Amino acid sequence: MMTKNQKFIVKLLSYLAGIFVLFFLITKLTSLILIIVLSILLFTMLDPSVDKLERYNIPRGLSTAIVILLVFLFIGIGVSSLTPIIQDAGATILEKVKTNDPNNNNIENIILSFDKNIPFYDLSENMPEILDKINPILKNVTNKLAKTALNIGKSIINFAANLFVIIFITFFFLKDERKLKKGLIKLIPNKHFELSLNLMYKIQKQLASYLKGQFLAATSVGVLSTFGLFILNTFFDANIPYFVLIGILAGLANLIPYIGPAVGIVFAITPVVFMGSENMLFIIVLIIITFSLVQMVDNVLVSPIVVGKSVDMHPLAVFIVLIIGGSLLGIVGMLFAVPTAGIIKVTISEVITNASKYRV
Amino acid sequence: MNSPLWDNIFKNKKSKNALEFETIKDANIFNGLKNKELKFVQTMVYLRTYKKDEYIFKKNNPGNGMYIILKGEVQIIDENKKDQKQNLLATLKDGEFFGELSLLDESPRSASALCSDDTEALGFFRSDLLDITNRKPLIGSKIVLNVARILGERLRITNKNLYEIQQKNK
Repeated sequence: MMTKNQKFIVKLLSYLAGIFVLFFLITKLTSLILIIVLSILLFTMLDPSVDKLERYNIPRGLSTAIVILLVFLFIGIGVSSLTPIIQDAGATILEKVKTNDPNNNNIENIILSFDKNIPFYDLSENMPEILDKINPILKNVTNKLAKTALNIGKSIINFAANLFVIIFITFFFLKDERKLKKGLIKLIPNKHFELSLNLMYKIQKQLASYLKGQFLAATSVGVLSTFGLFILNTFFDANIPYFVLIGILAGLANLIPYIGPAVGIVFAITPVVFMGSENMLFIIVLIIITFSLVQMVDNVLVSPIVVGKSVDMHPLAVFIVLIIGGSLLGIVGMLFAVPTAGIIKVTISEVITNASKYRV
Repeated sequence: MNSPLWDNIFKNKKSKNALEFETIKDANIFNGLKNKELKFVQTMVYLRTYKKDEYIFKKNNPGNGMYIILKGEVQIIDENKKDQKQNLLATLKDGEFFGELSLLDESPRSASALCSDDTEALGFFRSDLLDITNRKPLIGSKIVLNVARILGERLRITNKNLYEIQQKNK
């Protein structure tokens, strides 16, 4: 018979062993865990649609197949319509970068167009010196940009490969939701059974509303940005190329808090700078004003209604989470870092609230 | 494969499933549901096994749902922590159910449920009722109507008892 102290030591050692095994599994199976987390996120987003189809007496399996097919269709249309635009934009920018040698007057044009907008200062007199200083910097920046683009491209290709696995897992999550839930609940001891069931329900509900909110907010930012850039093109002769693509990217970037809106502005300004039009500074100011207005509408009207405060996180926590996401999965990791942290935060807060109610 | 071992395993599973189905069918709360609808409900309930003297839930825990006894015996007791007294309110057996008020709200349990024998019970919870209402509104509305009917009946009995007590005290 073990004494109380011995029991405590055994319990402590088993907890420590458990933590060690968990840590080992997390480090060894990071990509698998990420795939499962992303599948859960996708499942949470699609589950209401499958439920809605089931309402019309369509069997669960068929409802799931329809929703998954629609997802594939959506991705297919998105990829096939965006790829030529991205290729075209990339080729144009690459062309501008390639022609950027000291003998070429492209950078000179850009500097001169800045010069026209700055009163009381004449840059054209010191043009050779300026070009000598700017060109190495630009070459360095261009190299870094190319490397970053390559990394983004790599992570996108990796993500696309994993996407099939994620959708495959999500299909079974959606189709066999009840069986999986029942199987999971079976493992939980009677003492914690009701608490766990209640937790699962509340977390799923909170997460679904959070993801739906994020999706709606990103869509509204995307649509508003596209509309804003369209107005700049129509009424101010801004000639911003690929404004639909920029709008979509700004909407996607908006999923990354704090950094996202700034990234959106960079997406819009970059082609304008490379085009080097005469009233470039004026257009850049207009773009900044447009994106600020879009952010104002999003922060004041859209986000408070559709996102709510359910997964409100401290800015410092968001930055740490973004760094972790970025170091694990690059840009894609940053995109999904906050929702994943959202799951963890909601889980912890629900466990604390409910555990006290159940006196666990 | 005609092996007695396999036959026995599948026979046990089949008979358990059949028992679950019959118990759900006989519970008042699922009155008026067709066999196909009852089978759907069967996918939404959780089979739990309890040892003798194990609590299913304790008084003042948040109420999440109801239990139907498949096999065994459950005592509903009112426990007073201050004087450690236990007041037996009811003893429930196979096919009987308890905790159905919790299908409607999360108010704390008014009594504890303690197994006085090894027990198997089917748990049906508010989250699952909401899920059914969302996915199969017709089934959901039938169950909610049955819950309302049971609660109405109890209210009528309570009113009658109250009236009788008031008449006695006059």
